Amino acid sequence: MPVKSYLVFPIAGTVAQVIEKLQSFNHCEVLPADNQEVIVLVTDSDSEKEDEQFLEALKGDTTIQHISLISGFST
Amino acid sequence: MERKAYTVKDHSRRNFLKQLAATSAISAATAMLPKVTFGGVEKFTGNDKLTWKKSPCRFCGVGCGLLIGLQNGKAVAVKGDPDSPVNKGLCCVKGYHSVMALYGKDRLRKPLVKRNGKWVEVTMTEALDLVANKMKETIDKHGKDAVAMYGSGQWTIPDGYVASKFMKGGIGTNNLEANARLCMASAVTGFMTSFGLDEPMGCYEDIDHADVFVLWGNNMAEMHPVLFSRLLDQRLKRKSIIIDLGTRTTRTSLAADKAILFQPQGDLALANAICYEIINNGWVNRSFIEKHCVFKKGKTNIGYGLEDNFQFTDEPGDISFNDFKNFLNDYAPAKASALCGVSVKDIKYLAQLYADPNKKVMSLWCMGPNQHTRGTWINNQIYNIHLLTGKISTPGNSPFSLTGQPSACGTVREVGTLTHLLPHGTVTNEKDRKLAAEIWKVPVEKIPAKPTFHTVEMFRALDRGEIKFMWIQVTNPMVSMPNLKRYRNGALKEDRFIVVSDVYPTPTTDVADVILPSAMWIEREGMFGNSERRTQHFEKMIEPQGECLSDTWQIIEVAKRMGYGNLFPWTKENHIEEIWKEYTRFHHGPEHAMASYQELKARPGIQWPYVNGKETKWRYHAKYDPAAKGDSFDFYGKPDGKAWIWARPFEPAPEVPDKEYPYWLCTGRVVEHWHTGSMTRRIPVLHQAVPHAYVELNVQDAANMNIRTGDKVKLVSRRGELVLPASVNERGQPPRGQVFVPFFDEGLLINELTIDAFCPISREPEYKKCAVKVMKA
Repeated sequence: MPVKSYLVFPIAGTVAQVIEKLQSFNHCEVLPADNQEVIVLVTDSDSEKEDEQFLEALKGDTTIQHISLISGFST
Repeated sequence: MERKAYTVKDHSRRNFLKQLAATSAISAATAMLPKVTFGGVEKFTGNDKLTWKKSPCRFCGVGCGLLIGLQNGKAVAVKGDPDSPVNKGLCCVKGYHSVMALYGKDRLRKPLVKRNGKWVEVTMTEALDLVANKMKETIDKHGKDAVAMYGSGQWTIPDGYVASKFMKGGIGTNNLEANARLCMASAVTGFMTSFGLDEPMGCYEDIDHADVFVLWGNNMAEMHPVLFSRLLDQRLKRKSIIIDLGTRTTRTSLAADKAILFQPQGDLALANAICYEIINNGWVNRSFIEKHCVFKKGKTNIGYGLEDNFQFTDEPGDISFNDFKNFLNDYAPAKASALCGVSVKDIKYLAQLYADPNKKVMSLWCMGPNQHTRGTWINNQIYNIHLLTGKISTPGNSPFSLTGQPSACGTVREVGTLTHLLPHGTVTNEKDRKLAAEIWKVPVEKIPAKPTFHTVEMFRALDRGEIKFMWIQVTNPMVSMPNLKRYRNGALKEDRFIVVSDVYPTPTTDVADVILPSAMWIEREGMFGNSERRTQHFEKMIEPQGECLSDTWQIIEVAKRMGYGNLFPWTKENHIEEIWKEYTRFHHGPEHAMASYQELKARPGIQWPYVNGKETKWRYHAKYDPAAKGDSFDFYGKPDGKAWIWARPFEPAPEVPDKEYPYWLCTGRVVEHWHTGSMTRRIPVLHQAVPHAYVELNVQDAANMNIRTGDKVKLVSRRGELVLPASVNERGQPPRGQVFVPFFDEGLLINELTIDAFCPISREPEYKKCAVKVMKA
């Protein structure tokens, strides 16, 4: 049951869109920066498989410029 | 003692992990985007019932203000304190994860006594009885100077104060030292010899005013990341310039506007060359030096302290401005360039920056100049540059010596937990001894007038058998001492008795006879003092684990058992407040007056001198400092109110590369780990980021030896050898002929190779330069 955090950098002008999309996934929480276009994303998946599926879903997203894995815990 | 993998206790609370994951990401974001802010982090805790309490960070000397989130008797979250003028709400990666260091799986929770080679759990009462009996027995048999106490700048102010009172006022020995001797003693002697008083004249607010930042051998991006982010912020806002002077290319170099490499030990020549240029181009602030400075010379060829019982006393002599100018002729840029490896063009560029009347200049340094066999000299020389140009003691004009430990200033330097110091002044000064005796209510004869052993000599005395009993608190000398094998072997000798108070097993607890589990940081009340004369209070927020007891109360309990209970007439409930009241009697004048206990409790730190409810941000200038007389500068630490400009020459390092040992070895830290790693290696995120030490090699040198990143490399010095993985063209890049190794890893003890030479004036050892051979293992 992995807990992971990421920094998500949206394409300029698409922050609201990216937040909305991330919030639509199960077990995701988002924390947008107050003053810059960067989003902290924390995932709390039920399984490794769910975690992988979520990442696959993000890969095809054209509004995300870049996503960096920052930390991960396995419980 | 066997130590397994570092893991934290499983709290079975995913919210806790989510919060940690979130703070890691926030930390990474703030490192990349200096001005970024995040609100609403509390959502990751899953509820809004956290209680937030203020504390300074447990780790480095910057002294960031933290808010600790408490829930069900545990510390579960951290955020930067937006009210702290130090960090303004920002933390580094260590700060954000700091509370995890409280909950390592192998946290020491029970006292342990070694019996027949095995560790046996005992009660705290039994352990304290044993420590007191053994200390008393040693004194009875071998004399009071056969016992010693060794602490650090991680001691809280109350810890250090009771240690000083117990050792100097109770037992009557000056055998009291601290790890701070290994990291900022040269800063102290630099201040004392140039200004007559310790600690910086300026403060962090200088960063908001300076136009130029010159970093002398200081990888601030990793060692003081929050302050470095303030430099970067000012560059964005005001186009200020960052110059990195170093012996290898670091993250600081990459972020700087200009990075200049100098050869090891070359800083001595470089600083003199800058002074040469300032004088010979007519850029001296004449009226400033005529009114506020005098010129001095000291002894030369002063040795390196490699032999036991090494003695040295400097003899300052008067010289004129012209004498100083003539002395600098040996450091004309072309000559100095040959000594320091910096181009003539760059020397002239630096001199112009320092001298430009339209630029405010801040110099910053830490271990590079301090851990140096001429550490006092290079500190003096940086002050020389600021004094010649009059750029000092005013906002933005600031030579600023940074520290590495959270209370190196507050405890070791201000309380005076070194052999020669008292809470005010020195043991050699009768007036200072009388003041201590009066406040401590002991006969003045009780306090010995002669210092005994500085740190290296103290461990040599332990090896020789002159010291039989040593109590080590809140530090890890069996990782941090140079020429480590000698001192570890000394500690393990048959009739030595070692007591170690700590929070985790370490190589130092491995040599102990008794281990006392300490209450850590917010498990007890205390105060730290940071690099900018800021004292910060933290309250006890959570209960200590197991039988853990604060270092302060451990000392008091042992003192009581030895018959010194009258020196510590306080209760467990009131002792920190009472200690603070008593301690501040030593600093009651306008030069060092300190805030009251109640004020410290209420505010995120207060800077001294604190006079009539006002902090002093800049010392030695009447406009800002209530102790300064006249209408401008007054260097009142010296009897005539004048700062000293010292003629200090270039002298070589004690050990330079040769045919047999052709590489320079430099040691230091990484951002993820603090000091010897005993706490940060228990924090999984930090441990996983940098799980072990490595050796940084120059790309060309590595290619010539067919070494790639990850390959095993053997380093050999005259004192020891070590095999560790290579790092080529990664975090740091040494020039050809140099290697770098971080010292945090107890599994790869680089200090078995380093040299126990020291600055004869400060007695601070050299960790940045010794000679090694390098080969593929």
